[in-house]
Amino acid sequence: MPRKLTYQGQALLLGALLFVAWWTLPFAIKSFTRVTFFEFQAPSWVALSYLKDLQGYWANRTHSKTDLIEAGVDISRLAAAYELRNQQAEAWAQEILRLEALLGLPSLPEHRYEVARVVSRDLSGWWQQLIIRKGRRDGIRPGQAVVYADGVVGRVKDVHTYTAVVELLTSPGFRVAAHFENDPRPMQFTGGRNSSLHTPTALLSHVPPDADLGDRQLRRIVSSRLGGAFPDGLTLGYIDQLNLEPDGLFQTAEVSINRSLFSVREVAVLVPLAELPPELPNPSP
Amino acid sequence: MNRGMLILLLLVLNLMAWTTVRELNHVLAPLRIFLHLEVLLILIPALYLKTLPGFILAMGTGMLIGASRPFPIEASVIMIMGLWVSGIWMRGRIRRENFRHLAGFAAGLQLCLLLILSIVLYPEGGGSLGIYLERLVVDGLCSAAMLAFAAPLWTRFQVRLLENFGWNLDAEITRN
Repeated sequence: MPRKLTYQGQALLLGALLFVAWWTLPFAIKSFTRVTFFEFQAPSWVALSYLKDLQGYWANRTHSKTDLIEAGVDISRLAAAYELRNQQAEAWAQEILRLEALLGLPSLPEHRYEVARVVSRDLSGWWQQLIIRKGRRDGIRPGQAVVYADGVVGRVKDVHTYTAVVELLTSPGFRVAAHFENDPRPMQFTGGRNSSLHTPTALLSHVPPDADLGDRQLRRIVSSRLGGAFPDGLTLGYIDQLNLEPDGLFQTAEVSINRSLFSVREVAVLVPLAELPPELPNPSP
Repeated sequence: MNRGMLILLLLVLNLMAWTTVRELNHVLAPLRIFLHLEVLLILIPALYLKTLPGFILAMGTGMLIGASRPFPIEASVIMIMGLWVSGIWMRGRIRRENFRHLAGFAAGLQLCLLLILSIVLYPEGGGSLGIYLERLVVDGLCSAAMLAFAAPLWTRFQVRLLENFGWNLDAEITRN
């Protein structure tokens, strides 16, 4: 370090040297640095997440036995209802298989649900992502769909050993094929309008000019299997108005996203069954 | 304690602070408010450390921040180095013992950073400028208010903690 320079000059010199050195570094070294620093801090986030789980556990322990019995009764009723639906779904699955064989159609892709806790929500105006507590060792890969109870969460962007980064559907770079419920014509869903305190919105474009809301106030927008990652029919959002574009070829709409997306605690990653690594156990149905 | 241990300890403290900031943003996510508190992590390297250890610490902090952001890591490293150089330039102009000086410097520098980011990261598709600006103003004001409150306390905490380890940061450099 030149001794004649002032400390401001030294700082500028060091900054400029770093800039030049970083510019000439190979991409592999930059990528390695990024992964190393991510993995270095990931345990602190995961540990915090486990601490919150423990906190929730001890908070639940304070409930009285009466509360627990009531909750148990509610859950058993729900389980009975879902059992009936499960039987119905199995009958439909058999019917679909029979029709596929009859018509010579290719099979629909099948998935298993890898449930994961949300470790961190990182929702700025410029990027919207979640970090989840499952990673490469659980069979998660970039590009896989992520869903929750109210529909689509987003898509897996980066995968690390024990964690994965999920790009939310409200993120500016998120694009996916979509369609109206009960209308299979494809449209484009684009995220990226995130105002503070208000309901988040996204943009629906390439809507056919003859599409309308019908006699409903709201129309549900669902995912399309055309994109490859998402199965058909998962909720993306709702629209209440359609606007014709100036050229008259298509319509656009503002899609309201469910607010519960931003307080989600647990999500499920759709892992395609065909891509299961051989060391993983057989998935439960 | 040697200088290497000092840098390591400060890096661990920065990791703690960064984890806390992330947790705060996690809690505020349902309100869609995001706190940008990067300046909090460069106050000690810029105002208290000599140039070389300050540089190493600022670079490590930039990598910590950049590793989890959806941009190339060098973008965050350059951003943090810019904040550090700005801090070094302001070292002789503010009194680091004065809480109001420190709070004003941290909040002002963070707002300047957000202004630059808002221009650099303006979404390609355009979208609604009103929504973009509204989000930016809310995030900026909340971040500046939080920094003005937290920066003096966090800096004082680190200085006192290092004193307990036998390292007098006040004697490390003069403000010249």
